[in-house]
Amino acid sequence: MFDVPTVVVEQRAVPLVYTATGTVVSDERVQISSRTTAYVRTLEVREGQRVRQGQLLAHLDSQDLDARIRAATAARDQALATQADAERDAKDSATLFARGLVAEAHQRKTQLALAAATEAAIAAEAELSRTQSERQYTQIVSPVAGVVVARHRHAGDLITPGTPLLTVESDTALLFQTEVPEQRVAGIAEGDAVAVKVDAVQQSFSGEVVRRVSSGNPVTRGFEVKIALPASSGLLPGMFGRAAFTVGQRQALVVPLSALADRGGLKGVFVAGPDQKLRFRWLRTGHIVADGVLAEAGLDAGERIVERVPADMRDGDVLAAATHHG
Amino acid sequence: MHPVRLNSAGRLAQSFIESKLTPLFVVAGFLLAIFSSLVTPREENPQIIVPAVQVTWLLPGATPEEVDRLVVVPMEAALREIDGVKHSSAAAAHGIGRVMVEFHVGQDEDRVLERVKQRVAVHRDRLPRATLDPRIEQIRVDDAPIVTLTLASQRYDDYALRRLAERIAERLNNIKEVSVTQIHGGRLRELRVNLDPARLQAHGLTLNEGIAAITGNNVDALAGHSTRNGSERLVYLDGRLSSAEGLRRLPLAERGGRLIHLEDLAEVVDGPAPERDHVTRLAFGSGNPLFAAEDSQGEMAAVTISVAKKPGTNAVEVSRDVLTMVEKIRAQIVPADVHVVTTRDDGRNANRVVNHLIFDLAIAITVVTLLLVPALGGRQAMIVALVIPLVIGLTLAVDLLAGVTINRMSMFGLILALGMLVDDAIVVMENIHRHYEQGTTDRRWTAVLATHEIGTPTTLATITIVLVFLSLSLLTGMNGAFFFPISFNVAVAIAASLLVAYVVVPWACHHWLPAPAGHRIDQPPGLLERRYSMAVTALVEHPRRANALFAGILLLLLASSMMMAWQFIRPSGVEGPLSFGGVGLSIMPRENRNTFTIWLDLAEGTPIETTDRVAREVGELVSAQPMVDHYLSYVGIPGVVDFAGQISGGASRQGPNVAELRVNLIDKSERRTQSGAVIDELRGAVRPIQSRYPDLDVRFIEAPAGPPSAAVILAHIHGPDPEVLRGISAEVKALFRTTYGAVDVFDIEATQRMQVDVVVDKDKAMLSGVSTADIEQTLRALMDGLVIAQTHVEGEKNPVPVRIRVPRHSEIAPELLDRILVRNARGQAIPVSELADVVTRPSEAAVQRRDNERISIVGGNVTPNTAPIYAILAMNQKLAAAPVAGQPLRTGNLSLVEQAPNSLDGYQLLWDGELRVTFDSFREMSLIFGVVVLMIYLLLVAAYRSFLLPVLGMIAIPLGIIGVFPGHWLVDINFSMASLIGVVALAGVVVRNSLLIIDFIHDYQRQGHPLREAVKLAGAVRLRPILLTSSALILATLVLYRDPLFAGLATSMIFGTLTSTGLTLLALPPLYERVARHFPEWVREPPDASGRT
Repeated sequence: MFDVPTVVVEQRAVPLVYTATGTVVSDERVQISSRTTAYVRTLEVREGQRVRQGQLLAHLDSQDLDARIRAATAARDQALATQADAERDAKDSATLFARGLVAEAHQRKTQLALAAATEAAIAAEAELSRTQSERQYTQIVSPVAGVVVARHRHAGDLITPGTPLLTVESDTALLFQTEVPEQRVAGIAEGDAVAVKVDAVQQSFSGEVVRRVSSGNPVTRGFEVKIALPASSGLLPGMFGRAAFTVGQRQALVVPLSALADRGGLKGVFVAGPDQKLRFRWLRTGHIVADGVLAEAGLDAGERIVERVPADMRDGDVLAAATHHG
Repeated sequence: MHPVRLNSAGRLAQSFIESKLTPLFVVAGFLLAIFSSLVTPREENPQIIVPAVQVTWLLPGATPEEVDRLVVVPMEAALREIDGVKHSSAAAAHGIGRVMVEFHVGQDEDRVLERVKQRVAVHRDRLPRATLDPRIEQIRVDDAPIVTLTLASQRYDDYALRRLAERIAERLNNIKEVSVTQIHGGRLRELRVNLDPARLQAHGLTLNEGIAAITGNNVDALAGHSTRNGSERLVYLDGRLSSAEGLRRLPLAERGGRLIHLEDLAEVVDGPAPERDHVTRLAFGSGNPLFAAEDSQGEMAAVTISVAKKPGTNAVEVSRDVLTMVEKIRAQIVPADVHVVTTRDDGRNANRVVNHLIFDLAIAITVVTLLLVPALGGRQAMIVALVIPLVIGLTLAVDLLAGVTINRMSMFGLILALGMLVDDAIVVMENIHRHYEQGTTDRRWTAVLATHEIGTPTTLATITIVLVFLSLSLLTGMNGAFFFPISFNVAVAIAASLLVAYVVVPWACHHWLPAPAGHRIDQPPGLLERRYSMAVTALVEHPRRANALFAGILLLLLASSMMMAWQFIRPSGVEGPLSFGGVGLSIMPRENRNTFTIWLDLAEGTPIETTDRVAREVGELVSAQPMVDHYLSYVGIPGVVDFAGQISGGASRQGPNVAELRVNLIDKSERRTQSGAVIDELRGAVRPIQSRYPDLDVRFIEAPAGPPSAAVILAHIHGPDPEVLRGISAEVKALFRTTYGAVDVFDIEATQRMQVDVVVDKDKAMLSGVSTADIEQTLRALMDGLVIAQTHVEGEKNPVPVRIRVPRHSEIAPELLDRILVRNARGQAIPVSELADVVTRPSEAAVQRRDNERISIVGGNVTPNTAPIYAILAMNQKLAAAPVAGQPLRTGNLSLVEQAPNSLDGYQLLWDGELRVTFDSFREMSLIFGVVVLMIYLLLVAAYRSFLLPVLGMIAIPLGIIGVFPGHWLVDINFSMASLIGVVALAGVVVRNSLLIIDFIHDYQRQGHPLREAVKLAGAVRLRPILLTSSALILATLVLYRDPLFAGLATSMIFGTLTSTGLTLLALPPLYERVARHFPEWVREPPDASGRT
């Protein structure tokens, strides 16, 4: 005699789901490289490290630059000296010319020399400030807030302009990227709600289709679809997941997982008859849905089953009369 | 000393009457009886060899119609060319074709197999190139297991039980006489790769790559030899997978320098498969004390071990050895909460049946002896009783030499012979005794002369009986093989009894019979004889009374035949219950058995879980029956077949929509209810279940008393268009259901169901560089699982298969094929959905043929209160009256000669089943009966040198038939095959009485009595021995009633002998007197006899 709760199984609509696999990707992904050719002196961050915007990421070697600054300073000083000399010449020449001591041609030449020296001084000044400005490129800072996902070079490596040094991804705006076959893509529109299950965190997220790339791969016949994921969900870019697109629905019987029992190597449920007798019924179980498992064969709608099967329940046992219907 | 030339009987008696060999012969006979009964193998029923060979061809990807056209039709025709083929049947389904050739009973099995192989090989190149090598199987009767043991437990599952069963079966194989042990049910160990198609997709791997990786890594090989330091060593490549762990770590592919292992994609499980295609269980019934016990309530997981014996070994000993061995093993290795149930023990059955029969035989011997004591006197009776074991001993010795086993049939033959084998001894002894009573000086010579005197008619009568029974062995088919031991044993026993009567009886009489008591036996001393004399005198003297008697006899004959015929000609039609006084007709009577089988068939396409549910519901009804000890249920696989199951196709019952319940009742010695009654009750009880599952066909299969047939009633419907055939068979099935007394209606028909076609777009596939074969392999592995390799696991006797499949919870619906990737030659993965379209449509049904014609079969059984023939005739009338399913339907095969199917003229329904066997047997039996009558006539013509006189002698035969039908009515049984055999045997037996009377009339005439006087005297003098032999026959035959199979035979013999003896004694003398008046030449001095002393 068992006094256990029972539940009546009913037919109800369950979604018909198309599952596509894909990867969690970041919407912002920055590859940082150097503008100058230099040796990396220090690299302040490691993979996986979270960085702020403007945080110093790396120091490049600046000796070469310092020398060039000193040379530029010297050149500027030289130009200034030349300019001062030309100024004095021009002043003297003007005095002498006013006295009529020199020819007008001489006077004109000194004026010209002064103008040239002034321009040269401005150029030298500009060269100096340009060289000095190069100094900031040896201090590499992060342009975005995010996570360092890759370090392509190590301290001491020579980097040249264009070669990536670090990759930083933003983790605040994550997307789920998947490829959907040609046949399915017509049924997917931007704005559709999609459940995304990520294996690594064993959790399902509700996302939204944000982008559907309208150009397919000619061989695999797939189209890229991107799904926005809720922020700050503990996800990391690169995680494997499955997006469940609801493509329809069908009627099915759903049996709670706790009602399933194994008897003699068969998986099934205990059905309570009108005579309160419990009979074991072997089930063909199907997909697992939110609140149970689909019973594809072996059970009819409207039958009463034991909700939670005690381990010692056997075929032919009797249900206590006063049982509440679940 | 010898004034007369002795006949053979006299000469035999003379040689042995004082010989010292005679007592030695007697002692040797007794020893032979004991020796043979111990040594000869015993079995329950004689083994019938029905050679049949089945050939299966695989043509992957072909539709049923293609398989039918390309493989089945040409091959069936080719195989039918072999001589000795009785029937052929064939089936074509998706990718598979099967032809079964059934040969006539008695053909050599191995020769037949050889010829089939030859034919198949010759026609190999005519089949499509893609056809795989055929599988040729012989269907052997020897293989029907004699012992089955079932392990059942509530605690252990079938996987554990199977492993236990394997250990037990291994030991049982060590018994010398055991040929095959087999384990039924239970799941096998396998290494399971539970694939997750999504992960596969995520890693960009395809299934065919994975499979190739696994098979490529599972290699063991002898690589070569290497010789060093003067010795040669083998170089062995060890790459075989040997454990689940190894399989898990198996690298499948390399992606960016990283290895992808199998465990990244799939779960590897070592154990039984969770998706199962069969289930076996055992439950105790309410007749078993364990029914409600705590640890054995309800249906338990069960596994059955079946044991078959080698041909020629003794079933009794084999089963005893097996069970002793099991008892030992059980004590050692079987856990306490595993029930070990003996679910079949044919050895014990055989022993019990044979012991019962030996007991019956002893009863019959005692009864006959007791009958003889008052009739003949103590010593005389002892002499006759001495003959019985002697004859039986000789017969058993002949059996042993001829290879006839001790079985139910041969023992029955002995019992049947018992009533007749004492006849010769009684006649000889009685005559010697009579002569002694008349007083003699030379006892020795008197005995020889008395034997000589009786010799001719006795030899003649004995030869007729031997001829009758020998001709019975001309019966062909299964009935022939089944009844052969009877006719053989009776013929041998009667022949032996004649020998003993001439050799031993005179010797015994000479030595043991007392001196004459002084009265003459000639003069009717008793009241009986006087009354009889008066009656005969009245009939002979008053021709009008005699005429009235003759007319009465004719009327009786007519009335008696009407009891059988009325059902067919009555105005209310053949359907419905028997009229009052009617005698039913059936080929084999029902028998009270300890076991029967219930077959459940649901519509094709029913999932196994639903079938299981129906089986459980039926099982619950079964276990509620108080007479049920236990039952086994097999869902999805056939149970352990027996002979009856083999004939009705039980071994091929496989698939998710079939189930079988083997019900074992409490032993019949401990129950009152007949198994038939249990079945009838269950039939009624399952009706509500049938109304809930309209597609459910329930059949109760009980082995009939005699040889089994495929089904009691079968309607073979032939015709060209499968669609129309289906329509017709549906209507015929409906007609069966409404026919009076028809039950267990079923059809063997491939029903149409929905199928999902994956149609590969060849263009797209070509553009993507993928072949159809790649797609096929992938789909198969994903949807049904695929055994991709075999591994040798340490400590495991058998290789463990590696099966790859998708577990149910992530099963792929065919509509969602895009989750399946196939990789092309360029290494790109392409979803199958992009290469193929999915179409749902009604499937092409399998094609069935029989004798080269398309067929659809409907079958059924009848309740015991009617007979198959009535139901068939009733249905036949209705079917012939109007077109069925819009088609005129010709019906047939209700004739003595079998009709071959022919669909050229449209749709045709041929009746088959037990009825066909009945017709075939009745045809042969009537032929045999005719031959027997003719032979008796010829024999008598030769002996009496007259054409008319033998006719008078044979009047006794129709007089016997008068008793047969009323006898069946009185005993309340159907007229069966055994009854017919009884009639034929009767013909041989009753002629003897007439012959003895006629012979004595002649003797009296020779002594000078006028005809009328001789007629009266002869009847009176023969009355006593005739009554004696007839009563001996009746009493000995009475024990046959203990077996329902022989009730018909016993009824025919007993009632036939009664009427025949009675009416012959009354009617023969006046009739003879009337006819013989015109033929004085009938009485002649026999040239070799001296007449009476």
